[in-house]
Amino acid sequence: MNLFSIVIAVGIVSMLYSENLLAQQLPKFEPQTVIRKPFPAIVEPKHVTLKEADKVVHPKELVLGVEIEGDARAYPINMLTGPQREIINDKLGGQAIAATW
Amino acid sequence: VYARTVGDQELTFVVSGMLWQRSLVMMDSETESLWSHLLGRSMRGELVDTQLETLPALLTDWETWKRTHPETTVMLMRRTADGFTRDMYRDLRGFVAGMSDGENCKAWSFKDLESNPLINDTFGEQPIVVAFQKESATPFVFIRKLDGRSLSFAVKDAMIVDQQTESTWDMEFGVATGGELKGKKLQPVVAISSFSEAWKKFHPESEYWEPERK
Repeated sequence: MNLFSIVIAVGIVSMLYSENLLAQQLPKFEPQTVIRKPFPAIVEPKHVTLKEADKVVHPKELVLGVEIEGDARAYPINMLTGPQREIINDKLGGQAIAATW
Repeated sequence: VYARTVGDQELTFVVSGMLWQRSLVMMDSETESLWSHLLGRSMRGELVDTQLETLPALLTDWETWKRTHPETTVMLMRRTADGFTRDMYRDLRGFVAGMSDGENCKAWSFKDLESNPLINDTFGEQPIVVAFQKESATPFVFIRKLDGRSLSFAVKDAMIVDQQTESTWDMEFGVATGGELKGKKLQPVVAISSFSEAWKKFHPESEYWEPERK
């Protein structure tokens, strides 16, 4: 084994080691701006009863279901999709919640 | 789903227009702090390092949710997509059920849950049961402790029973339907259905449940 191959071997081992170390840690917070202006907040969204929702929501459609203090609400995922819809500021069971998926 | 009250302050969250690790960065309108959507933690600004409380939420299909929550209300808006149905789970390898409480972090792959739909497990010190409903790809998780006694669950004659009293259980509700414990309820715990890749990235310290090698 010549010096050159030792240097390469050490290089590869230390690279694997540091990658392994990094994998244990959360990446640094370096957000990228994709859209310049924040989207307007969604507050006080419209709620309907199960019976009414049944006319619109398909049985196999995914929903995000939340239950707080016996109060239950479903958020159909197909209505939470897209940058302007990702976060719904709502109130449920006397609590202020952010429904987000 | 997060509680948006921090101390005495009620926050309003908006989509910041920024991404971190290809995941949404939220901003609160009150302090303009930035928050990781997946971690629920403020990463920058006045509220940096504040952790939001995660609230119990279940990702399931409408059929299952309305059956288990007959009193539910529904938020309705115009649809912005139509692809989020049960068909999304055609390949179960891409999804995990994850639990994280700041101290412990553990995930169960949907693929493993498909072949092991009833797991007696622990999370930190807490004995839990993970019951997976294949049809709707929904993980139901409960603390398997009742009046100070730990229960362990098994399938017997196509019914879920606890091995201590052989009472039968409905794991959608975590309620005993027959036997000595009839009417007793287990306390549900929050497991998040997440994309495997996202879970791995945002919870690098996560432990993973592994099936026993036979």
